[in-house]
This record gives sequence, structure tokens and C-alpha cells, in this order.
Amino acid sequence: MTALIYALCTATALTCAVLLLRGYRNSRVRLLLWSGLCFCALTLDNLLLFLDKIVWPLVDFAPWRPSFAFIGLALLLYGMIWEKKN
Amino acid sequence: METFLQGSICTGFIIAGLFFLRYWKETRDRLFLLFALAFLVLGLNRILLAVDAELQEDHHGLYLIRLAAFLLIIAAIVDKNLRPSRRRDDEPARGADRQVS
Repeated sequence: MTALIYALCTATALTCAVLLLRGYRNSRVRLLLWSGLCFCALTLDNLLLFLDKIVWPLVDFAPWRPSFAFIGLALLLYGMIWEKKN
Repeated sequence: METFLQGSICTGFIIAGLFFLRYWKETRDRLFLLFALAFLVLGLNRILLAVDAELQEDHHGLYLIRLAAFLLIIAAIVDKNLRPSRRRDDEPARGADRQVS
């Protein structure tokens, strides 16, 4: 059950990233690009969570996991603050 | 360092949620409202995970909240794409009216 939850978090984050980046490809709305990149980073964060807790429980990824989410949110906030309103 | 990053991530989610809330206020596009809700839920999720870590409890159930937020975002994108465009044919497309994917 736990593994399923972690795997679903990764899969849904990846789905969000794909949908948002496809939306950017079709519409060229920059907010979609930054959101898509954010969710790419969140996908990596969740993937690392799955690897940390399920695949390699003896290895501690905890110090590294938040870095991906931090980078993703930094990209999203940069896009929101500096991009012109479309 | 990890505590700093977790706090920053939580704050980042909340700020992003507030940005989406502002976009919704300007455009009245439901997509932005749902995104705002999802990001605020993700921020709340980070707070709950931090509190749960302090209590040394097993918190894999809290990841269901994260899953729900991601599903909300997917639902928002699908809803946006299934909705007919509100604009007239002689008006140029605004950002809020374009399909997301």
C-alpha cells in the first residue's frame, strides 16, 4: 500500500508535467513552461522518495530529496514573477 | 539544511498558490482556482509532514494528500481542455482561453 501511494505520487506528478509541457508546446503560454518544469522537478522528488523508502531503504536520500522540489518551485516562482502576463 | 529546504518548499507552494489565486481573480478562469487550491494543499501537506516527523510517526498516509493535489491538477487541465472556448471568433485568443494540452 505504501509503495503504491509513493508510485502513484510519482506517476501523477509525471502526468502533470507531461500535460503542462504539451500545453506549452501547443499554446506557447510561458506559465505552462514554468509549471511543467516545476512538475518535472516534483516528479524527481517523488521518484527519489519511492527509491528512498521502498527500493533502497538502507540508503538515506532524505538530505537530497527536498533539493528537487526546491529547484522546481524556484523555477515556477521565477516564471510567475518575471514573465510578462500573456 | 533539510529543515531550511522543507520550510522554503512549503512557503514556495503557498506563494505559488496565492499567485494562481490572483490569476483567477483577474481572469475568472476555473483552471487557476483549481491550481491555487492544489498548491495550497501541497503547502499544507508539507506542514503536516514536518509536524508528523517531529512526532516520529509513520506518515505515509499523508502522501495521499499530495496525491489528491496532483489529481486535482490533472482534473483542472482535463476540465480546461474539455470546456468549449468562451471567446468569439473575431476576438484574439487570450492566454486564459487557450487549451492547456
